[in-house]
Amino acid sequence: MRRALIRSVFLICLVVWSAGPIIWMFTSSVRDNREFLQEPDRIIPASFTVHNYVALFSQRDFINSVLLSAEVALGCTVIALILAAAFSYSLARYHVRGMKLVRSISIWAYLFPPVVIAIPFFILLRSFGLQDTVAGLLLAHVAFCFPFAMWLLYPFMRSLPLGLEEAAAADGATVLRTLWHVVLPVALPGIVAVAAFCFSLSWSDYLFARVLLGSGNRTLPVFIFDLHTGTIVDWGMLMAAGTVSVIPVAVIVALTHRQLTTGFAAAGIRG
Amino acid sequence: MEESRLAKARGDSFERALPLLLAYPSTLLVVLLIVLPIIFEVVLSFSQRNAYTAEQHLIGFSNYSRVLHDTAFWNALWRSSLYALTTTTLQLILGVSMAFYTFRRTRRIRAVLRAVCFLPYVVSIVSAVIVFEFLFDSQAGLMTRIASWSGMGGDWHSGWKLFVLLVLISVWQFTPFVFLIVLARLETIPTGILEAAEIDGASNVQMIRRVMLPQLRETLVATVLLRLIFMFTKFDTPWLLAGSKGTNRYIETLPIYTFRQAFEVLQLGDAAASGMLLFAVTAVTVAFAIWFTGRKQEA
Repeated sequence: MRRALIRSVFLICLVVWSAGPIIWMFTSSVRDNREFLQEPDRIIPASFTVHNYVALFSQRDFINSVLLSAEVALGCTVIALILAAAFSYSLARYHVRGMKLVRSISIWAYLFPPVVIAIPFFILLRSFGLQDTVAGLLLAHVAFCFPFAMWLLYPFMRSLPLGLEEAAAADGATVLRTLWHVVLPVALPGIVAVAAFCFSLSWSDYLFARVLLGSGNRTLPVFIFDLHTGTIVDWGMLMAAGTVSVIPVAVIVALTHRQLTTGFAAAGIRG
Repeated sequence: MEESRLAKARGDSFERALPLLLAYPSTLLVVLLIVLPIIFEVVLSFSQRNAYTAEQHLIGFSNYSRVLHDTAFWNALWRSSLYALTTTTLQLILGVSMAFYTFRRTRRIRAVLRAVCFLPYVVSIVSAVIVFEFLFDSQAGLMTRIASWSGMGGDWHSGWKLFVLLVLISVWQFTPFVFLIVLARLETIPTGILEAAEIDGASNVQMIRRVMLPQLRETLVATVLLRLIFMFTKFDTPWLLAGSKGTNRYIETLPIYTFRQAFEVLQLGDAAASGMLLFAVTAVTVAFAIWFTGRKQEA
């Protein structure tokens, strides 16, 4: 009896600790703003309004930042995925000179703090005329995602039984057909996990988006932060913007959490 | 050889070129976007560079000496170390307890808890920071009210309390990292071992201390190392928390110092030198950890 009680108290604490702030963010985004000042002790909202969302979505800058973030995150996911899948497959199957070196370099580079990399990246992009361009930010995100994408996909590629591919080849399938119909389906769990990681890393990135893009080109995290640095803070709208930024990642995690949580443990993901 | 077996099964020249076609784009990416910036960073740390005219020439170690003589650098190094140590310790304690608790529940509850405990990691750092700022806002903050009932009232956004807030946000957001890795490792312990201990009448505490912890040792060492590195080099959380309120020496960590040198003071050479020192600390930590674990295995 006492043990059951302690257990359920622990369970409640765990859920409140992990989910509480997120629930608070959401409920605050649909409350009347006056409530925060009049009744700051109230936990269960007394009002419901979508006013904050209407105000948010009527700002052109906000819509632009969502679209820009989506564009960069999707682009980064696709490019990093294709490169990492091709590279790790090649690494697992063939012996190309220098490949192991490329692999170790990209793993060691992982130890370089992002803030340190951002400085030379900023200068190099500027000398290539790519400052303040979406392409420049995209390159930075791909470079950032590639090492762990490859790191995560390699074991999957490695575990593919060679016999499958040989059988397909013996049956007269072309290489590309074999890759598409035999290799891809088996590596799918890894690919799903990598795609989810790349998307959420790129979608949530603040540092590179701030450094590499000018103030005319803001991604969602930069927009949210700028919304917050004003002198008068509109908490309701801020929580609404935060909620919007969480939704895509939450949906992806809900759809892929099985692959994610196993892949996560295998890869030692950055965070 | 796998290569020759596949080559026999396949034939034409396109297929022979395939390995290169698959590998070279990524090689190009790694060289241009990872190796080149790192080399440039190293060269920059020994150079004087004008941020406007882009004139650059080598000046030896003067950037390093200037940075090492800057008291702000030493303050930042100390703050980063304190931040990395406290957050790693708390993440470890919380993450491991959460993993133990979750592991001992039924399959269904475990699945739910795994998803719930993963939640903080889903939130972007910007969102996490603004939610906590809201929770601890001096007027509208729920936690500020709760804290003031228990006699911990006051302004959470100035002085050393901002450091406490920073630690709280970081622990909240990054504990799932420890939780998931430890839980995944626990799930690979053969059930036979656990059942045997249970039949022998091991209590919960004995289970954890004698059966589960020894199995976890290597995982824990690796996790602590990763957490230390990532927390020591964490830029976004302290920067975003400090951002709206100007400088607060309690949360001026080394990544922030480096960033300010580069993009506010515009001393690119100093920033590069400070960045190299930041990297040096992480590299030494990793080298030490590798040496330490290697020595343990020999013994």
